[in-house]
Amino acid sequence: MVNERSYSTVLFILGLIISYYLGYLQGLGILTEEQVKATIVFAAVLVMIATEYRHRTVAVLSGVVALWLLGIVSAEEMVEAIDFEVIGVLFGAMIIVLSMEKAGFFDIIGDFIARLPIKSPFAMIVIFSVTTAILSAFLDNVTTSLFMVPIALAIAKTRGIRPLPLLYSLAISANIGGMATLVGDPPNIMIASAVGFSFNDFLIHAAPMSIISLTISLVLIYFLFRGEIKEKMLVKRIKRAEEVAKEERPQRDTYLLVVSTMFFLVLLVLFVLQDFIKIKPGESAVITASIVLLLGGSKVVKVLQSIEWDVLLFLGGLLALVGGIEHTGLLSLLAQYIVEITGPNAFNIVSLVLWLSASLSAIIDNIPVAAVLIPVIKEIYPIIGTDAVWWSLVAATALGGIVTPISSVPNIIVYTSLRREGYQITFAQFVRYGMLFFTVNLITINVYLIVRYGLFGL
Amino acid sequence: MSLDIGGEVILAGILIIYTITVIKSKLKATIIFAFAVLLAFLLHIPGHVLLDIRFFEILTILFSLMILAGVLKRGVFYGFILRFFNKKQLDSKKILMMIAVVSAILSAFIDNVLVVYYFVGLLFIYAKEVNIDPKPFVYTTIIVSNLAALGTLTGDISNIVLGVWRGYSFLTFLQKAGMIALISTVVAIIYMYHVCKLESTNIDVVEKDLVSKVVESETTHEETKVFLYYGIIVLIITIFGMPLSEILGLSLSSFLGLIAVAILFLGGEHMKEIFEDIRWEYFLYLIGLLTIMKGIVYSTSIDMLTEITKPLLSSPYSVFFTSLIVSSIIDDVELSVIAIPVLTQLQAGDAAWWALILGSSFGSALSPLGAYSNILALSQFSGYKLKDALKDFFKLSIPPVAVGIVISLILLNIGFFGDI
Repeated sequence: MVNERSYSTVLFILGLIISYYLGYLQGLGILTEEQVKATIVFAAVLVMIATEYRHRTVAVLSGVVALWLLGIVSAEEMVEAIDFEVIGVLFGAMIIVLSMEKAGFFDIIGDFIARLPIKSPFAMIVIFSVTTAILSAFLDNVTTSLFMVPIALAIAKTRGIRPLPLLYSLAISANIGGMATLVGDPPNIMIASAVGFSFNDFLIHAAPMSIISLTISLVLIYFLFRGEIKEKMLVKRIKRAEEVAKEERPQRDTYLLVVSTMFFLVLLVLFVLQDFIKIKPGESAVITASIVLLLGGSKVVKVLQSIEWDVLLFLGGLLALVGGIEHTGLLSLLAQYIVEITGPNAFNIVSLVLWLSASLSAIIDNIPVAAVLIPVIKEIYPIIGTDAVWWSLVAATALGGIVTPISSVPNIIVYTSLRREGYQITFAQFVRYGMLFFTVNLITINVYLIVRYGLFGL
Repeated sequence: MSLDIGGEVILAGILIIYTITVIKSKLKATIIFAFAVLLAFLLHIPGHVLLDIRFFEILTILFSLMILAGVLKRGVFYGFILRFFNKKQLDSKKILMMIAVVSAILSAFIDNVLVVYYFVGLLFIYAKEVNIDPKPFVYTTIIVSNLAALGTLTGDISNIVLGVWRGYSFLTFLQKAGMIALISTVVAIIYMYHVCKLESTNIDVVEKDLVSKVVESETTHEETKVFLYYGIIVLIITIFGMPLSEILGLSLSSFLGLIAVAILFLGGEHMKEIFEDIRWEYFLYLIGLLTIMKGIVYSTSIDMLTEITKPLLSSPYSVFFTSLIVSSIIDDVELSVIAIPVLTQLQAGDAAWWALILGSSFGSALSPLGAYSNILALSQFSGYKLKDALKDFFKLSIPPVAVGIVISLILLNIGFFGDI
C-alpha cells in the first residue's frame, strides 16, 4: 500500500510539471490565466480521484470551492451548471431499485438461476452473463453485482465449477450491460440529458452495441477458460446451491415487492413513451420514486438510508466543476485542438473519442470522463454531424470499466470476492484479461460504428 | 401536463399531509418529499422557479453543520462530555445541569436537531448504565436546546430558512434574539435544577468505559481520539468564524461551505464515514418543504391562504401567538414554509418576521411535538406514550418558555424588532 506521504510527493511533482507546462502555454498566449488556473484545479481533482488520495466526492467539492475562491465562477453559475435532470434520473432509479432489493427481488432471480438443471458450465456462464447484463441495463450495476456474486460463488462451490470464469464473466457483463439503456450507467443519463436522446434512442443505438460486445466477450471467455469449464456440473447439488445462495439474504416483503416492481415497470413505460407524453426521464423517475416512497410502507426508511447520497453529491459537484471549467473556454479550446489533430473527419473523430474516452475511463471514474467530454463533443458535433460520436462515448465509458480490478465497481466486487475465497488472481493477471477484452471489444465497436453510421467516405 | 388545481385543493392537501406526518412521524421525510414532488409536477412549476439560490444557501448551511456534527459524533464528543462529568464524581443533579449547559452552547451553533438527535441517544445509554430515570435528562436536553437555538441563525432549521429568506445575518440574529435565548435558557437550567426529582447522591463511576462502549462497533479508540480533537478544533473555528466571516464580507453559507469542504479534505480517508453519518433524509424533508412553499406561491393558493390567515397574522402579536401555538403542534420549519409566502404577500415588516422566529422557537421548546428532533428523541423511550410525555414535558417547559414569551412581548412592544 502506498502511504499518504508518497501520494503527496507524487501529487506535488505532478503539480509542478503541469504548472510549468501550463505556464509555458500561457507565456505563448495559448491559454489565459483563468484557463491555467482552471486546468490546474481540474488536473488536481482528477489525480486525487485516480490515486484515491481523497474520497472522490471530497476531491470534487474541493475543486468546486477552489474555482470559486479563485474567482473563476460564481456560486450562481455553478448551480446553473448542475443538470438536475441527470440527478433526478439517478435518484429516482436508486429509490426504486433499492426498494426492489429490500423487498427481495434479487433473491427471486438468484433462486431461479440456482434451480436451473444445467450440466454445461459454459451454458451456466452464458445464462449468468445474460441475466447480469439485462439486470444492469435496467438496474444499478453495483447492486446487480453485489447480489449476483454470492449466487455465482454458491453455484461454483456446490456444483463443481471453477469460480474464475463465472465471476469474471459476471464483471464483464455488468459493465457491458450498463451500455444498453438510458438508465444503465450514469454517463448514459448525462449524455441523454445533454443531447436529448430518449430511452428508445438508446434501445435502437446503444443496445445493439451492448449485445455485440456481450457476444464477443462470451466467445472470448469460452476460448480463454475452456480448460477450466470442460467438466460437467453436478446437478444433484442444486438444492444445496439454493440454500447457500439464500444465506444472509433479507426477508421478502411481498407488498413492497409488488409496489416497487409495478412502478419500476411503469417507469420503463414512461421512458419508452417519453416522446409522446413529453415527460422528461428525470421527472418520470422522481415521480415514480415518490409514489413508491408514499406507498412503500415502513421499509422505505431503510431505502432512504441505503441510497448512495455521496454519489449524487459527487455527480452534482462534478457537473458544477465542469460547468466552471467550461465557463473559462478551456473545453472549447480542447475541442478545437481535437479537430486540428483529426481534421473535420467523422471517422477519425469517432475513433479518437472511442479510444481516448475508453482509456481514460479505465484509469479514472467514467463519470468525470463523460462530464468533460460531453461539452467538448457538443462543440465538435456540428463539424461532423453524426450521432455516432455520442454512441462511441456511451460505449467507451462502459468498456473502460473492464480493464483493471479497480476500473469499475463490479470489477472491485468480483476481484475482492475471488481473493477472499482464496482464488489467487493477481492484479496483473486481471489486467491482462481486461486488456484483451478491452481491445477486442473496442475494435469490434469501432468497426460497428463505421459500418452502421457509414463513416467510410468522410 | 399542467393541471389546473384549485388553491383549496392544494391547501387541503397540505393540511392532510401535515396531519399524516404528525401521526406517522417516522415517515415524515418521505411523505413530505413525495407530496412536494407530486405537487411540483401537477402544478408544472418551472425548474428556474424551484432552483432558487436561497435553497442552495439553506442546504449548504445544513450540510456543513451536519458534517461538523458528524465529526463530533464520530469523536464521541457527547460521550466525552458525559465521561468528563462522570469522572468528576458529580451528583446526578449537577450532571443534569452540565448536560443542559453543553446542549445549550452546542445547540446555539450547530443546529439543535443534530445536538438533540445525537445527544439524546447517548443519554439513554448513560441513564441505563448508572441506573437512573432518563426522562429528566432527555426533557432538559430537548427544552434547553430549543431555547438556546433561538439565539443564532444556525441554531435551528427554521432560523436558517427564515434568516436566509429575509437576508438576516448571523450577527443580526445574535443581536436581536441572542439575549432572549440566553435569559430563557438560564432560567430553564436553574428551574430544572430545582424541579427535577433526582437523587442527589453521588453516582458510581461507570465501570465500563462509556465511550468505548458506545463506539465499539463504529471506530477504534485511536480513530475516535483523532475525530474528537479534530472536531473540537473545527467547532471552535466555526463558533468564532461565523460572526467574523460576516465582518469580512463572506456570506454565512459560503463560510460554512468552506469549513465543510476543509473538514472533509483535511480529514483524509476517515471522511467516508462522515458521509454515512449524515442524515440525508432530512435534506429530502427540507427540499420537500421548500418545494411546497414554492407550490403555494406559484398557485392560486397563496391568495386564499393569505385571506384565511390574515386575521391570525395581521399584527406582530398575532403572528407571535399563532406561531407559538402552531409550532407546538407541528415542526417550526413546517410552519415557516407556510408563513413565509403569507408574510411576504402581506408585506409584513421586520417586527412580524421576528415575531414568527420567536414564536416558532418557543413553540418548539414548549411541546414534545414542537420539533421533528423532539419526536425522534422521545421515540427512543421504550413504551413511549405521548399522553404521559406531554404532562411531564409541560411541567418542565412552561415556566422558562413563559419567561421568554414575556421578554419577547416587551421587546416587541418597545419596537426593538422594528415598528409594529
